[in-house]
Amino acid sequence: MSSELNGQVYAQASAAGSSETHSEVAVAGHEEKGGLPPFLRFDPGVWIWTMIVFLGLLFILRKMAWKPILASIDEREKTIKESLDQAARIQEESKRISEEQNKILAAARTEAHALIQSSRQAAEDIRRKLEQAAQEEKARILASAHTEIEASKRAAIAELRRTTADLSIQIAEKLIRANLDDAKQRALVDQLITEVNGKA
Amino acid sequence: MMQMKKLISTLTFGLIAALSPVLGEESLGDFLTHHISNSHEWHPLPFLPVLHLPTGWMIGGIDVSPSQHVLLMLLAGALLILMFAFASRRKNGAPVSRFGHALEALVIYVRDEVVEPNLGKKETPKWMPFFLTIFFFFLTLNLISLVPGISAVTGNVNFTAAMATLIFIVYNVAGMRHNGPVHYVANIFPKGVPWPIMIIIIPIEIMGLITKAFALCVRLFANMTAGHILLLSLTGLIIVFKTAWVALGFLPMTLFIYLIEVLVAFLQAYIFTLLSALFVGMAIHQEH
Repeated sequence: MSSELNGQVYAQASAAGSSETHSEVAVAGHEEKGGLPPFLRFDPGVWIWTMIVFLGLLFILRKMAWKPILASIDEREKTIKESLDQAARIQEESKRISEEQNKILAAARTEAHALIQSSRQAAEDIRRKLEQAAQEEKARILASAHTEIEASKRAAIAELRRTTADLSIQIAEKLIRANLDDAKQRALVDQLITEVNGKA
Repeated sequence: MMQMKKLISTLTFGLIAALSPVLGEESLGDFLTHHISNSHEWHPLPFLPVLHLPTGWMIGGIDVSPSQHVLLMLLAGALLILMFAFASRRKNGAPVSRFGHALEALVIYVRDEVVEPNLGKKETPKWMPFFLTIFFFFLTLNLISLVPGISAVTGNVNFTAAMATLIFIVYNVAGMRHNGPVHYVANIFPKGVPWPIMIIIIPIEIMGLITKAFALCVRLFANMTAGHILLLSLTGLIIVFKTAWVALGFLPMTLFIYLIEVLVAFLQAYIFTLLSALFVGMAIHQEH
């Protein structure tokens, strides 16, 4: 309404004056209307419309856009946060597990080491014991062999002595029995010796 | 390439020459005032017929007939609803379209940089729809005002005053609801001050309360109007020099200012939302 009135004022002004003056006339026109240019005038209609449009938009957009959008953003952020938390938890867990593994591994290694050490010790002991037993056995066998050899030797000597004595006695007997002449004696001795040799 | 340049320059010169007689018979003041004022006529482009809007709708002595700015408000609202009908479609919790992603980025920005720092994590979800509506409504109005033939609703002082009044009511009511009316009013004034000083302080604090909203109103109005006046003044040099040919010289500058105005459109929507959130936050968390 007011702007239309102003438009008329402008129209009159432009009709009246040259282009250099009309803006002044137009300003004078505003002053007649109450001192304010049209874009500064109070317009309660616009106020009411603004409130209606804004509140209507707030109502519609809240239902249609803001709620679903914000809900989906929230949900997504929640999912991301949960995933991150979970990842952190898994990392923590895997760290703990690997530490545990290392601990178990170290313990196993120590145990194995101890086991090897002790078995080596045991083997050494057994070896030493066996060696000792073998030494003793050897000594015993040697000793018994010596005794046996000694006994055999002694028996052989005794046998030899007996056989020699028998032979000597037989030779002597035969010598005495055939004591005729020298030649005969010689032949006899040779014969006897041959006999003895053949017997022996 | 050369042919292309020739064609473009021929077209530009032709258009300017064709518009010269249309634009010749106005004064600059008339031209500016006409283009930044609300009216019941809408004349988007010189060669289109003037659209006459209905007048004389009276309710309780108030003229509520839809002026050009009311029409633009409704248009912006429809545009917003259309945009978000498109952008709020989602699949597996993610927007379907790139446009939806872009708008969602703005929504997240408003939440993280505007609302949450001022209202705190607990109050934010409740207030998000309010501030998002303010931000996107103002952004849409600011941006469509840059389309030739569409004027700036956010540069209408009645519009910004109405919005500022609404926010004034909102932050006071929010403060009273959150802290209790008595506590809220008592907390507005400093404690332990001797009474003669209170005589001075009480009006100052009440003024301060109103000034916040007043500043909201004036800031948006002044910024948008100033920007458009600047653009129109550069264009209006055609009227001063009485020839459309000067536009060739001022065209780059007009384009530059226009691009700044695109920035201002975002900036002012952001600032208005930020300050509203700040005032609501101050009213709710009075202890700070």
